Amino acid sequence: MRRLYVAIALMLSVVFVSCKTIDSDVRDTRAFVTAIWHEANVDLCYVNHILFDAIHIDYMLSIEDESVRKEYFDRYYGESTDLYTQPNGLLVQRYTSIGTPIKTYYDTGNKPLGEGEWRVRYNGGNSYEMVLTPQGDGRIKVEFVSLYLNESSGDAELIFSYELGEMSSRYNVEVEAEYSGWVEMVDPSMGDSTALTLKCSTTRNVKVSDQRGFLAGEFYVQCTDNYYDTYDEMFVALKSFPQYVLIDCCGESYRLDGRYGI
Amino acid sequence: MRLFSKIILPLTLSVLLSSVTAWAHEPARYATSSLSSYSSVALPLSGVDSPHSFQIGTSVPGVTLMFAADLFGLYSTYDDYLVKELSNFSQLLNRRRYYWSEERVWPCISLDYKYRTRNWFSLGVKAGIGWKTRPLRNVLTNEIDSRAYAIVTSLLFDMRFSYLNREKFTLYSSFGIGAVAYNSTNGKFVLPIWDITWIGFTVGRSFYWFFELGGGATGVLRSGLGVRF
Repeated sequence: MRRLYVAIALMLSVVFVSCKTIDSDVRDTRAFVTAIWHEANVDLCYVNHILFDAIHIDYMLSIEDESVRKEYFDRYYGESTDLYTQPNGLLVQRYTSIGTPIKTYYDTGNKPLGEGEWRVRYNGGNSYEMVLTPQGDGRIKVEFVSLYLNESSGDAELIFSYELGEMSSRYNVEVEAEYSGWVEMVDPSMGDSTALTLKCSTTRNVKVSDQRGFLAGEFYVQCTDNYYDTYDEMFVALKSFPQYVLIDCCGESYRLDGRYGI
Repeated sequence: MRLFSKIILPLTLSVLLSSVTAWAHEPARYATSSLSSYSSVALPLSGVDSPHSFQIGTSVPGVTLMFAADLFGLYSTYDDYLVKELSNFSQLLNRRRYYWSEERVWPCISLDYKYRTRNWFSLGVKAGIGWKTRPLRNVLTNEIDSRAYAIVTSLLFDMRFSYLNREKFTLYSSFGIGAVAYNSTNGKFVLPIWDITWIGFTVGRSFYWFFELGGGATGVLRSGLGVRF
């Protein structure tokens, strides 16, 4: 019997050596949630940029001193940008590196932002058309007729208010805006039937500066992918001091340092 | 399949047939094949009175099997589950949604039947199976989404040459040819394959332990248990 045990032991030793377990890849949940937030952030920043453009145009129009106004415009848009007066507003015309004009039409009704309805149209690779309607309480409602970013199309509806800082000696004015609402972008790159939809919504005011980015706020991010038949949702909180992003997803929290967690 | 039907199967059948024929022609010898009945006879061989042997073994590593599987891209199929060329966010997200969990490998288990036609020569068949498996898990829930696998089975016609035959110890080499079937998440096909035992030995009489140094279908270092009957 002893020899039998020895034989079995020798065989088992080979079995144990031959059976291998190779280590797992890294389970990187943070990279997954970060990818969704970064993509949502691109959409949000695009909409923020559109709003700030309108606010800066409105501020420029309010400057009475023509030389200051021109200097401010040149600093904001660059000297290669032309400004034309239209019967119902303005035309801002920029040029690409090969000289193609990119036009932004501001149909202001010759009224300041917040006092009358503005309709803004832009077509320069990305494109949008939006209507800004005063709400009577200092806030402005933004509705998009069309919204295209790269190959994505989307929609957004926001209510925002803003404050202007002092003009610096370099003709810079910082704008801080607060808004609530939602931004939804659809990525049609795999065909309409397999679109990925990313929706960021917030009921609490998000604070954002044109020079310092997001300052505070919370978003509820929903990501629906019809191609892979997946749905993900997460809460994203933007913290000010120190600046970081806190993402809650599937019961786990992830802290990303920096303004955007990038 | 053609290789199997035209070469391996006929060879296997011929070995089995010759085994039965031998039994039929020498009934007296096999009917008294216990060691005790030969104890007073100066037989130089151990187990020679038991022409059949069957053994089961495992190997480390099953180099040829797994190397071939990797060589033919069969076991590098994990990435095929995930999109390699990321052209949009949907694909990027899908790529990051999953990760490969632990890979488990059992290189080879072999089954070996031999019939001794001469004191120094045996014919037989050998089969081997080895596999790898690795689950793909969701990073959020850690649940298994799918599983990649590769199963490599081989069937060989094998001949063994014994150099030394003692009562409790034999020393031998062997060589075999046959076919190997790859079946993985990426596909399946059959190829010819060889197997060689450079040197091997058994320890024991009717029940024995073996150890082999070889190469090919059933691995490099092999060990297992066998019976002679």
